[in-house]
Amino acid sequence: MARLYEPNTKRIMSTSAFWMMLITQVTVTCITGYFFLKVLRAPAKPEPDSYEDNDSE
Amino acid sequence: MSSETQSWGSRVGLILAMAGNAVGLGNFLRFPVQAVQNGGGTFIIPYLVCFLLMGIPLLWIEWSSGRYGGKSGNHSTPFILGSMGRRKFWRYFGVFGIYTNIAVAAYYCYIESWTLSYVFHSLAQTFTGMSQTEVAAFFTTYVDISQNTLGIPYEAVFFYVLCLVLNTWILSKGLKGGVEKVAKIGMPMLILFGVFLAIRALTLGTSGASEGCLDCDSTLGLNFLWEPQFDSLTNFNVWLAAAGQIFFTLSVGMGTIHCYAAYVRPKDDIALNAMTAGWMNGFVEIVLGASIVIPIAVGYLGLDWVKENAGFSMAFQTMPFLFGKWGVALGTLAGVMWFGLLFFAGITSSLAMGTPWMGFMQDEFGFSIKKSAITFGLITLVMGLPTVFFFNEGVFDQYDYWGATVGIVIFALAESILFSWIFGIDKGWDEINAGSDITLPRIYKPIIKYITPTILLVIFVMSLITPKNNDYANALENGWELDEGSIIGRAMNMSRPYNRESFADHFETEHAGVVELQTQEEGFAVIVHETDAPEEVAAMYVFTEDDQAPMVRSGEVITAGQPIASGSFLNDIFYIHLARFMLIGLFVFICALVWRASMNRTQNES
Repeated sequence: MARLYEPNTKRIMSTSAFWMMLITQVTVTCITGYFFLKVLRAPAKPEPDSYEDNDSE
Repeated sequence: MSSETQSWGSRVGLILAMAGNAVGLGNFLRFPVQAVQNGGGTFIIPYLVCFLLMGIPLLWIEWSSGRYGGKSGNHSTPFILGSMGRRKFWRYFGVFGIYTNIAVAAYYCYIESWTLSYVFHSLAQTFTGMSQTEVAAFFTTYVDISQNTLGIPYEAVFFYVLCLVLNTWILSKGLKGGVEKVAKIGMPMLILFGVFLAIRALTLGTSGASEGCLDCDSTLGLNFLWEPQFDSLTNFNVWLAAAGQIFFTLSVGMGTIHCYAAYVRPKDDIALNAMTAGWMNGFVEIVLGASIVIPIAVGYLGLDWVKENAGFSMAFQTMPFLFGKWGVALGTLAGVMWFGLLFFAGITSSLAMGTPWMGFMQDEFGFSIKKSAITFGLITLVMGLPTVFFFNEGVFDQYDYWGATVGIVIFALAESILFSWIFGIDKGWDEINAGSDITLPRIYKPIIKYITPTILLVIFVMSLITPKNNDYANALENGWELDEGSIIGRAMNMSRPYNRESFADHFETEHAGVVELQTQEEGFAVIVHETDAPEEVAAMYVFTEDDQAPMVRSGEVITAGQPIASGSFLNDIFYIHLARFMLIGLFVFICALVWRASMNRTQNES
């Protein structure tokens, strides 16, 4: 059945939807950031490694 | 072998290229629609479960298989899989890892060319002042190659070739100088554009609601997308849809990951790299992908409209109209960002599709990077032109289904069995862990061995024999009737019960009803009205050739399948056969190359 909403008169995002969105998006962002930081902080392997840019180091 | 050796410039570059390979148009267009159709916010639960049980294991399998193959100088799946299995038979399963990429690149570059063209049209403010119907009609005109919208003859073909030339040129610069460079620019730009549009969507609220539209609110779109419906967790179809989405979004089962990873040295990490690229794709999909199209569309057009029309075409047929409501400056900027975002998502994926072919030709036939890139461009052009010229006749869909859907499921199932059961899970586990910068949970060892292949087998079997209307309960109770969308149903063209001959001397109506025969300027039209509601038009068939004549009279009641016109007809089934012939031809051609390469190897060894 269609539900009617009155714009600007009440909050129409339900609490469960709001928390579902917030928890999921924050969790996924944090996990992505965590792994990406781990990559950036990982010590470089001794040469010769797979990457050319650090060959002169 | 080629004297040119390729390598990655940096680890971050490799990860961005891998993430770019996975991030595609589906992240922004397929995921939100799948979520809407499968339980809203609850879809995320089966989605994440499938990511953990199937996505991550497949990523590790493919990264480690690629790096293992790279040790012995193999950079494409025929000989990567061949090095893991004792039988030569596996080399021919590896053909899927090249075939799928060329088949997909052929039509994917066409979508990519739409995004490129729409960037130009956004800059030129083509859509300014257009109504929603006009914007939708613009797309229809665009894909009709006989027409042009920019004054360029064969505009769709022009942009397709331009896109292919661009891909070929970038590929000819190699991994570090081409693919990686594009990923390093494209991925940050994509995220930047995505964040801008997502913020705009989240803050849109009811400001775009037209008078009288009570359900025009972007927040309502978010609510619709994220409202948990926990009862959908017990629905098998939701789980199948989530597994399918994970499968497509990660670009597993294609052979591109193997190829990229083949250039990683044995002592370097792959486990953390795989996790980072996989989660980055998840971020783009769940955080950005879910926050753009649906909320903006609901904000302007209302929830009911979105429920009925949510789909891939919204990107081109709806979004330009909605951006037009933001004023000229912001609307132009949003259009450039939206289509720019889709273009970057597309090109980072299509570049990845070129590398397995290039790796294969360099390894086995001594091609240079440039020569292998040009041959990829040419073969993709030959395969892709039918999708451009016969887009409306269904060639595009055939490539999409038999290349991107069936091909990758078969390949992923085969590689997971090979990795866990032929190569051996102990050896495979050591391979994944070698050089790892993270400690892998041991629980993944049995998951990779038992659960991942089982999920893939279920997906394959269910795709093969999908019951009618996806109604499993009914199929089990009342007999298993195949759905027309199942693999068998598609192979048998079940969705086309009429006009099944390529060349015919009559045309059959697909709709029953009452006939209205109408004389046109050129030829005649048969209009079929609904029997119960004569004012409703069920279908209209226009016949323009001189040798075509009506076989029905006005007022006649006809049944579906009844001949309504005589003459000579070329039915759409011809183009479907053409597409399948092209795809089978491509597969056989690559098999022949693998056979030739195997012979060369045998000769060199002796």
